[in-house]
Amino acid sequence: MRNFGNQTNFWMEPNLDEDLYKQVFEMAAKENATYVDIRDEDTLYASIEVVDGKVEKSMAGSEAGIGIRLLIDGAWGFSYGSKENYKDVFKMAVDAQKTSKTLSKSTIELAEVKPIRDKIIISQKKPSQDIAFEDKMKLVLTIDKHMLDKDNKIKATRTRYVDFLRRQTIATSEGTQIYEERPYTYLAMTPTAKEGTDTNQAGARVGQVGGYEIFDVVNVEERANKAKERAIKGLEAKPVKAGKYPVVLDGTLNFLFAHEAAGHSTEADFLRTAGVLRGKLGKTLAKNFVNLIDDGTLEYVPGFGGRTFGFMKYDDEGVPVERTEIMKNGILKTYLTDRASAAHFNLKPTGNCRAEFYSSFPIVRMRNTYLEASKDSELSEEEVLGQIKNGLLLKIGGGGQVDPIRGTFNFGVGEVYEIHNGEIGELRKATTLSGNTLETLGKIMGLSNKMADPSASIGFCGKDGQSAPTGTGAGWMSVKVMTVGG
Amino acid sequence: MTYLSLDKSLSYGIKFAEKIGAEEVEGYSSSSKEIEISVEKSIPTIKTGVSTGVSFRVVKNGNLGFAFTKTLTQERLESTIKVAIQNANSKGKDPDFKSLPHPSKKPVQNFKFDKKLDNLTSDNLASDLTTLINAVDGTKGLHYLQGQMFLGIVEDHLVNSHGIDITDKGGGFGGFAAAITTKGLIPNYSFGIKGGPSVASFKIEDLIDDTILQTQRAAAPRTMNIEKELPIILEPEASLGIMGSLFRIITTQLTGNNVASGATPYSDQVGNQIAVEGFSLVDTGVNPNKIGSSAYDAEGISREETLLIDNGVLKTFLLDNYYGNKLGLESNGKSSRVGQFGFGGDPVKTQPNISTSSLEILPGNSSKEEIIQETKEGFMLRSLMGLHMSDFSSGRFSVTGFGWYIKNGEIKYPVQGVSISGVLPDLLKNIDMISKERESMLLGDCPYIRFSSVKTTAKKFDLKTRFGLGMLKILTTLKIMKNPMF
Repeated sequence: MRNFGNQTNFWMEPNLDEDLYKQVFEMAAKENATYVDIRDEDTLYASIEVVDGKVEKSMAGSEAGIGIRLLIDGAWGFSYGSKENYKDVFKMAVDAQKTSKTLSKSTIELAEVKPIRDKIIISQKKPSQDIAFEDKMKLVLTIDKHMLDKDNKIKATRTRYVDFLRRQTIATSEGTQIYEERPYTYLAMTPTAKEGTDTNQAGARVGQVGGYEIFDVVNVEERANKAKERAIKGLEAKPVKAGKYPVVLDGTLNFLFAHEAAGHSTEADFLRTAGVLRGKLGKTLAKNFVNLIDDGTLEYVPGFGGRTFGFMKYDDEGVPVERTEIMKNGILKTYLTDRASAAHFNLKPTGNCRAEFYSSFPIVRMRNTYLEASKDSELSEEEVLGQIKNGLLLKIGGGGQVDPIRGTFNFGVGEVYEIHNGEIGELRKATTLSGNTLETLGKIMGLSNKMADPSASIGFCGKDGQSAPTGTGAGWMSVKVMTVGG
Repeated sequence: MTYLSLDKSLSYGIKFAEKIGAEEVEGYSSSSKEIEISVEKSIPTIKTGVSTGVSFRVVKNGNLGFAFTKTLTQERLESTIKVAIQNANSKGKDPDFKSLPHPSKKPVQNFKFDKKLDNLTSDNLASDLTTLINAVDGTKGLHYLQGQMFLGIVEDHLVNSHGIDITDKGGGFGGFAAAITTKGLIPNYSFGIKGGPSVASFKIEDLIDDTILQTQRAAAPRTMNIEKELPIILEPEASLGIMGSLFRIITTQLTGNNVASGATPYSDQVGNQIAVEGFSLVDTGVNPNKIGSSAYDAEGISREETLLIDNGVLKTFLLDNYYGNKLGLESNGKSSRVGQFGFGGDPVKTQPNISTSSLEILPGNSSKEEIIQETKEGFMLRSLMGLHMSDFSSGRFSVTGFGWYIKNGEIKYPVQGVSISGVLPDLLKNIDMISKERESMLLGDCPYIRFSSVKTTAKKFDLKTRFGLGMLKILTTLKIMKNPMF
């Protein structure tokens, strides 16, 4: 039995309903299904949101149900619902497949994988589900208060704590059966400085795949302090003139560019339709020292304590995750795939198939994505900085968006410094960064491989209405020219 | 394991909460049915499902606790109530919390659920999508890219200790489609989106016409170098649509929670001129032609049409029961269990929060043609990305969009990668033209709006990219190769 909030012993371990899975596979065989997978989920959530020193929202809950996906005659059918109604869910999936078949002009095939039976419990030294609500609230209230400053420039604070324990069994008709418990714990801090009508918001995060121990590993107050200082200094700073600049991006922006601009453009499910990198396998897209990595196996970054936010063992098709070299020495080597898109492009499955919930159709998603230099071309941060004589140093990525068909992107940047004669100069207000993926890849001048703290580079990526936890901060990079907002 | 029905789960949870000492209880149950059919190029994905669950807000120790579950067993319901109470207890007494709402004495607008929605099947939706694909592919110069049809029906039941007992059923039906055009050097795409709360409110022909028209308008785009302040015309989609929504910054700043915390420039501005005369903004949860309209809000308070900004003068805020009390005002029925902008989200898992429903910007005096004719040099933008990275407290934004270049009162050509930035509350005073014509969109009705001067940046593709596109154009025109991008 697992405690929840240390007081109520009621959140039972979910059952592995092998009989149910077997029944579904038997029913599917009668429908001539060539493949079936069942995702049986029971996830626990808790969240607390404190605004201006007061708990504004707090909640706990359990999300449970099953999703059944079946492949008949080269067409998918997918449905979801509550576990007790699995027969209805199965029937809806079969009906969906029949409709799907009428729309299909091509046949879905799946790349082969070995069936796996496994049980993975990603450890938590201090399981977040066992921490009392009062204690979590105390932490959030303390940090929220900590963002206030003695000069009263911080006028508004918002601190959000979330933990969730994803408990899921994947069972496939090919014999795969994997039960996994994957915990996530994070805290997001947003102080707002205000003077007159001018305001400036900053943000910082602390999080990991794991439990409450992240708050022992990371000095949260120090991170809150930095966010507070950034909000105050940014308020006083002048805006940067909108335009094109040579830039140095820090590790969080390396992650953002690698994920949003480059990574999304290599997702093979989407590339079956369109995209700027479609048809570019084997082509040179960047200088020969540039490597684009998506790594689900990266658990820890040397020198830091928290697990990366994109760490996992298996994807949601039960395929083991891997370190995927999407681009090696500037050449596009593979796309990120699920089993269907891997077969479509005759690539191997990279373990990138993820679904937010049992009710979500699994799609290609990233894990830990970043750009790194080939070993013999690696630069130090100082050397990267030294490549730009006059330009901007951009730090603290703050979310992003990409249009993978047009190849345009737009990112938030929390901290901007001028670079004059190779020296870091005056601070400027937070801004945005935009550009074109292919052009920007070709303009990368240098990369450091000094990875950033993964607990600060935690992201939630949105695609097709689904959210997926992703990471992680990498090294600094210089780009010949990018468009900076204003 | 014995599962309870939805109604029994609701009454069991409420009784159990009262039994273990909840001072007040609100129970909510929901059963939502979904059909979503999408075809990406030639690959269909069909998702059908039914999601059921219950959530509870309990009052204990003068504060609210919230919890939900999708597992409808006695044991899980009891644990959900216990954790909700634990949640409330941990927060401590909130002097601003008065009570859960009492039955509304305000007039209630009745809505009739369109029973024809119940009869729609995935085959009906697939048939519409097939018609659309054929129509787009049959249009010279256009290629179907992706499309989606959706149907959602939600039946919910809200009960609280003060006698609120409301059952409701609502639905939404519509579609989205995108097509690509290869005219000119740079391929481009655009989209259409239509939908409504009844079968009659959506016609596939309208979506087909919109998709074709918008894609033809987007043909032969260019990129260009611009770094200056220019007049910007927002098409309705950029102001309030799914792919733009710049004015969502303002509605976020008008929510009671942001007003109470001071995270907005408008806390003390009721009665003041905050925008130009002629600019009026209405939130209406009772428009029978819009998805999401209903008789009552998420707390059981009757919904209403609220004039937020009247000819530039701020009239009131978006309020629920709690923030109405806190600000010394009355709720105007803006509590919602859906996503941030009144769309998406899971109503069971979402704690009631303030959200807009459908929005209207009232028409102005100019015609769309006059607005264009009176623009010496500027852009008209339709889609924007990066809005979520804005500083919602100050309204500072920097977004990248797609639109058309205007010179000497004429639309010259479409342009990709146009970035605009500014502070939206300042720009509200900078609106100089509003069109008489409005477009009815999924979540609002909106005219064309011109800002007299906005910081604008755009960057032309570099020579290498243009050369590559030129070569590709020649090879595809001569049919030596297919365009690999789609």
